[in-house]
Amino acid sequence: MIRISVARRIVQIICFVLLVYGGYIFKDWKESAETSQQKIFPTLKAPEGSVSTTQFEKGSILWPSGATPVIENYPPSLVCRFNPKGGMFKACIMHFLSENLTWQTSFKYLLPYITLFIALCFLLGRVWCGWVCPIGTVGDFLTYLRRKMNIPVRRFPERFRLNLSITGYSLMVIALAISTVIGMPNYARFQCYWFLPYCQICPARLICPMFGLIKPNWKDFSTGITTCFTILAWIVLGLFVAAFYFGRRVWCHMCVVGLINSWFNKGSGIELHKKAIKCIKCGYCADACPMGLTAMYQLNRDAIYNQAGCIMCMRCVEVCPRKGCLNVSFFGKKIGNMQRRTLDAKKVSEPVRRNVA
Amino acid sequence: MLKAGIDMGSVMVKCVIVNGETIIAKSAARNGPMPEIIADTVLQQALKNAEIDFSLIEKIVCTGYGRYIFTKAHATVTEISAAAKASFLLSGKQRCLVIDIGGQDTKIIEVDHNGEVVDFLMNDKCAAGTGRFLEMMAGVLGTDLHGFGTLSLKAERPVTINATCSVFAESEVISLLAHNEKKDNIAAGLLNAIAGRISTMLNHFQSQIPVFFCGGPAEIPGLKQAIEKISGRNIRIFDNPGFVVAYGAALCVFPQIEPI
Amino acid sequence: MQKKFLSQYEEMLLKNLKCSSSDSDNIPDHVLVEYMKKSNLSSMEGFYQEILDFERNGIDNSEKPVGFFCNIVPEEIMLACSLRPVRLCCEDYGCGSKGEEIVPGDICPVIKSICGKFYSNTYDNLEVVVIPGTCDPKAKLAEILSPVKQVYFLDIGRNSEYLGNVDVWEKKYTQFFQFLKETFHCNAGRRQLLSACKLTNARTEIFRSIYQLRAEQPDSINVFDYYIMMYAGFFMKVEKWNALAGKVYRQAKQIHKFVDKPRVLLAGTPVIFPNFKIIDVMEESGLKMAADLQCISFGRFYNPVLIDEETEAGILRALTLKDIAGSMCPCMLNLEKLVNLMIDTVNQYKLDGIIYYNLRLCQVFELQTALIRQILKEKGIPFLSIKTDLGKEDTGQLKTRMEAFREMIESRKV
Repeated sequence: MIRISVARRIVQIICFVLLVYGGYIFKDWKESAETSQQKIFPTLKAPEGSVSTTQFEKGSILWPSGATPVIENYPPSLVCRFNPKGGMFKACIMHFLSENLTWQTSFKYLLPYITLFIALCFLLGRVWCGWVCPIGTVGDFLTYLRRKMNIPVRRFPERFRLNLSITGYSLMVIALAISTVIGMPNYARFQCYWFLPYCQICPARLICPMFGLIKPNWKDFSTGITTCFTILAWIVLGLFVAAFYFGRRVWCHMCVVGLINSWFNKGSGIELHKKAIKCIKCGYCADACPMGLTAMYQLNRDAIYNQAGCIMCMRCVEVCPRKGCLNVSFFGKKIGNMQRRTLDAKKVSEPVRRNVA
Repeated sequence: MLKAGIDMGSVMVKCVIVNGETIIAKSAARNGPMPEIIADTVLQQALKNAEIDFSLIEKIVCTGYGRYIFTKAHATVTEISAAAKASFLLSGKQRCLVIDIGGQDTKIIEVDHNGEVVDFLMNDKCAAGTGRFLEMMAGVLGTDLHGFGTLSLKAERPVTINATCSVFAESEVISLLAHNEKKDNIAAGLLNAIAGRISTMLNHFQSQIPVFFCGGPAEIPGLKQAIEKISGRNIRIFDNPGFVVAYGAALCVFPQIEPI
Repeated sequence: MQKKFLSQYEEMLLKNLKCSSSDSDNIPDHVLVEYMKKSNLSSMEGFYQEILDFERNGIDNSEKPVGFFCNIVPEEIMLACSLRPVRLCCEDYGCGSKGEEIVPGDICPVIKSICGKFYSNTYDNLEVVVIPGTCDPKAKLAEILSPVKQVYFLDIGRNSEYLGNVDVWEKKYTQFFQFLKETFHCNAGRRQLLSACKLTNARTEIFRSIYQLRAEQPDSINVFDYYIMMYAGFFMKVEKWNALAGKVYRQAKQIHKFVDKPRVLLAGTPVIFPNFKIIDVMEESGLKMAADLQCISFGRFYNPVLIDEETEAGILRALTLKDIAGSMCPCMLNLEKLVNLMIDTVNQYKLDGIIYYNLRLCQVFELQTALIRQILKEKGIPFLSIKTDLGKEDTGQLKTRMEAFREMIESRKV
């Protein structure tokens, strides 16, 4: 049995490779799929007359190389479209929503994607964030670097984290509002520069292509709007690096995709249980939580603990020194003993026997 | 089945001979420097009272502080279990609390409706609140335990005794006597002090359980009333309270008690 | 740097103290031999030998011994500075009466014994004494001892809530680490701390195995051997203790002894050699101590250091969580988790009852007794609270209680 944090690292690396370089790995399959037109889901096509990627000029901020994604299937979370050559799948949910609000695609076509997204969310909750997200993996690597350099972590107060999620929600509302407005016929002329406003400042737009062997579009000073977007993207990237370097996963409180995923955290298949009687309130769980959540620690009764902020990294379960205090279950079925094995007594299996004279 | 129960307390050695569950003879003597011989004498006295031969006794169960001294005993049991056993039978097989004041300790035992001990409290190492304490104080007042109780009943204005330590209580009593305080007031004050301690212990238990009182000092007139007054509970005294534990010992033939 | 307490009056005090110290004639050799005879494990001999050596010769000065009290003082930090932590807690009647020359008679018996022991030559080689601000007597002890030894007072917040105090504790531990580094001119850092934690985690692992084994079969390692091991852990080097304890565990595992005597949980004040009165009486009354929740054994060894952030600050923080936040010391606000732990241990190992041991005049333990009693009675777990001191005169009374408790448990089971 491997330690859960090691398992998580392995899954993260595999997912990173698949999501960023998958296109190169599965090149043949990709091409055959393209030619045969066989797709698992119906492809969404931009309606006639709307902005399509081909309309953008070569140097435009949005498209690094002008290529279109190859297999238009959605996982449908956390895959950045701006890594077109490498990416196996189409895009993340924010990209998907922004695009379709602008295009005003018929709901009939959206349904399969939304269903898949919600189904996956119900299945796994925010496991995406902790185990799959490629930029989360990059961030975790930054955290690893900091630890190696012996720099203490910055811990942020509860209030600050709350403000971060408010910021995230505001960003989401603004971005989706812009996408809706430019979808209206009267404002279609803005589409050229305002298209996918969230993606334009998202750090993944710069990070994913960087790792995906494509030069990301670092700067576009052609118009005022693109200049603004370029500078904003730089600032956000700087904040991203700083947040992950100094404060573990603080960034994820603000990430809009994470926020959408977090709606499904309560009631998802993966559940964290706490047995209050076992708890000795040592605070290891609260201390180890990369999101800085303390509810698990504070809880004083047996309960299922799926907080919105939780990214299901299971670090708390791993560091809990009391056997059986924190447990993970998948649809009510308990997933083995996730604690550090070395700290269990060697012969635990034997039940207490008593001989009666 | 004839059984004998011997309660080797620190002050008195008591013996009860039972036939089934009925007492057929009892005897008691003051404990002294040779406890085993005293116990033997008491047992012989009880046998004489019952007019039976020693060989007819099937089981002798010993209890009390000296329970390991008496080598003729077949088994030993603690006075707590013995008191609980006896009280359960004597109280008509109901859930009850038993106050047992002994020579050097005071216990409160909670017995459930199966006759099992659920919980018990014992006073600490200190002698305050025990029979010995009362005896000492009676000695200071120049009387015996019974006379001490009768004195207290005549009290008009009981004094407040602050000291709970027996040594300090003695000096407090002496200084009160020096201040011409009436003996009966002092006696009542001392009883109140003890009753206060017992009530404190009683209040660790639920209030609706009936309370019974056993042990030699239960016979002191006025002590029961004092406890009732302070704790606000009704207390009943068993007949022959001094022999209750010995009676319980005689009944206690648990299979799990190890033979000596 | 920690400044010396009472620096103005130091010489004056030292003069008085030196006069009062009498020769050490309280080597409990014969007591030790008695317990040695009761042991059924040949591998225990090493521990007995260690204790004999220690009681006869005191601590050798080979490795810069540093004295400390309580679990609150992090051993790992001392180990990282390549010092030898020596736990000084002591419950010795002989030392206690000697200690009364310095401190009043009716105070904490542990403080009395320590004072008595300090003015014998057992602790002569100690370089520094670390005293935590857990309970009130400990704080005064820092001042009492300051004329004879260099004392470091490790003050901590007593609210064991992680959220309220963890930053304070981390700061205190960092200061303590800094102090040791400066005093002993060593250059310890992250790597040293990590290897020290590894060492203590290995100890935790062995202890957990032993604890588990005893909980299931209390006679595999008898209770005296168990506490002798804990006492030897006070001054032995961790590696040596680990090796010896591992040997004992492997030997004890072979012995399958099932007892039909009631198995109980012993909680409350620690049982420290030579004050084995309570466990003596327990054994005589036919009660088996199967598990315990005392600070010298469970509290000290059971919880591992789990490091999340492998930075220096992160390790120090993890240590505070192990030593302070997870502590069961009654000095802190942790009654709820203590009761939970008691109930959980009883349920987990199917124990028959709880004996709560109060050493007289330790107020914090005494104060919480009534509350614990109330809760456990509601839960239907047999509970016996014992209050006694270092003297032997109340053995008979204790025995009556313990036997009555055993009879109570047995009549329940039938």
